[in-house]
Amino acid sequence: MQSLSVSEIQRNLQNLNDFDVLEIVDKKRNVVKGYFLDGRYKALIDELLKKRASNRKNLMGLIGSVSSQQPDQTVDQLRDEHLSKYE
Amino acid sequence: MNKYFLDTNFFLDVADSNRERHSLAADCFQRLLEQESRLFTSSDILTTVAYFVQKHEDLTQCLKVMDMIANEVEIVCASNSDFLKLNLILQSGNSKNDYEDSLQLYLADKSDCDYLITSDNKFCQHLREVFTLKVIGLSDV
Repeated sequence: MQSLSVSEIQRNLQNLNDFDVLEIVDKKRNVVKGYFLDGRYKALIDELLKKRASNRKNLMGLIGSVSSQQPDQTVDQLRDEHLSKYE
Repeated sequence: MNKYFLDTNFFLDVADSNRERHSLAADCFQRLLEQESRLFTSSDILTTVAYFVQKHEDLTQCLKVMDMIANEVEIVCASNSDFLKLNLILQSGNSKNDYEDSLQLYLADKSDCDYLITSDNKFCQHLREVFTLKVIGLSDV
């Protein structure tokens, strides 16, 4: 896969004329910033975005998913109780 | 798009309908999801959340909750070098810093999060100035 920095793309826009998948990198920090895909992958991207929206909607289900008998228990108490399994 | 790191007590307050801060946390969580913010947490935090869910419900519910979280929330883990870097930070800091909480703050910063959300007002209060991210409460979102 071809790796390019944003400034390399700015300097030579022809890089965007013929590609399949480009890895966009921050060369100073050595970090991958993201991927640039050819337009023919639109269907895949749409599917990915749809799945993401569905995952986000599902995450709403976290609200009220537990009904505890100890609502006053602090995180520290919970951790101590959890760790006591290893005693 | 802001990045938020979610602390253990945030997950517990959102999930447990009997906790005092549940409504506040649920509202906050809905706002975060509507804003399309990127959400982060750590594997350590999720271990405690899983223990909590299974304790009060059952394994089936625990798996359902962990599926919901793992499909959408970005999970961060600490590497060897993360522990070594954190140790250096803590060696020169306040002796009252809590190691476990400090690691969460460190991981939030490492993930380039803008905010860490917690209901604990004293969370890493002696260490916050070392990092650029802000520690905020439920009503600050």
